[in-house]
Amino acid sequence: MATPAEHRAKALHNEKLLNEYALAEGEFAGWAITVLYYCAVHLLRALAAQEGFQIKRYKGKDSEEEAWKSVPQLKHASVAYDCYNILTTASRSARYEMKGYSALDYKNLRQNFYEPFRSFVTSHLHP
Amino acid sequence: MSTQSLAPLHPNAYEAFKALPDASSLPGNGWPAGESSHDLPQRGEKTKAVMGEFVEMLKDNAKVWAVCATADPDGINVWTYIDSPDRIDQIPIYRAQWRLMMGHPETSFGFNTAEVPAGGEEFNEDDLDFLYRR
Repeated sequence: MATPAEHRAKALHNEKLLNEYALAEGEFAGWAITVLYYCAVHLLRALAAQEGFQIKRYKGKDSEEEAWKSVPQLKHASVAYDCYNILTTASRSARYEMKGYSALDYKNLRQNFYEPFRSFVTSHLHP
Repeated sequence: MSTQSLAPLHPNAYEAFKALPDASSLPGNGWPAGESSHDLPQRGEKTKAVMGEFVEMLKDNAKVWAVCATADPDGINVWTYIDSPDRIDQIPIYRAQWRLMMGHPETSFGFNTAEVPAGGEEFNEDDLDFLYRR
């Protein structure tokens, strides 16, 4: 069972891949968006784990949906939920819908949706 | 492979959505995860009722062209199909998900959104518990 610190470290590890290897520049922007989504996944799990909720599944008990409903910091955070879902759908489209993404798409998603989500989560994470 | 880029996001557009109200006070008529199979007929009716609420919230979004759902003892899997890469078109879907989730705290949902051109997906109604097509 991963700790909040381990989830946070994983998010930072994924960000390092994006930042140091310029993954979004060129033909792999879709993968960069997928990595961005997994940064968000681990940030969400870090906050949930901090509050004693381990996200283990995609539906039912122990799922992300249940975390949004029950974790105090999440249950009123509908804007963060929007941002998270936008990243989820973009990542899904990159992987399954043969959708082509550009570096500009990645930049828009990162600035407008990932960074606000990240700020929201980190403002609630203990040091 | 589509090379269509995302529509640029107007800097003030997303701000407008932040002003929307949070969870609605929709009545909770869900069922607990892990129910017995004896409740299947009742579950089907509840699925239709809950999904009807969801579609009602999205029916004015012309880009949403289909919503389908399957129910199992763990909850309801929902797929929303939208013919738009624009995030501003998609945000009302997430707002509707949020309202449904918070309005039915006893029901577990698995929400999925697919960016697919209208008519680009075929549905087998026999495999679904709910289907809406525009």
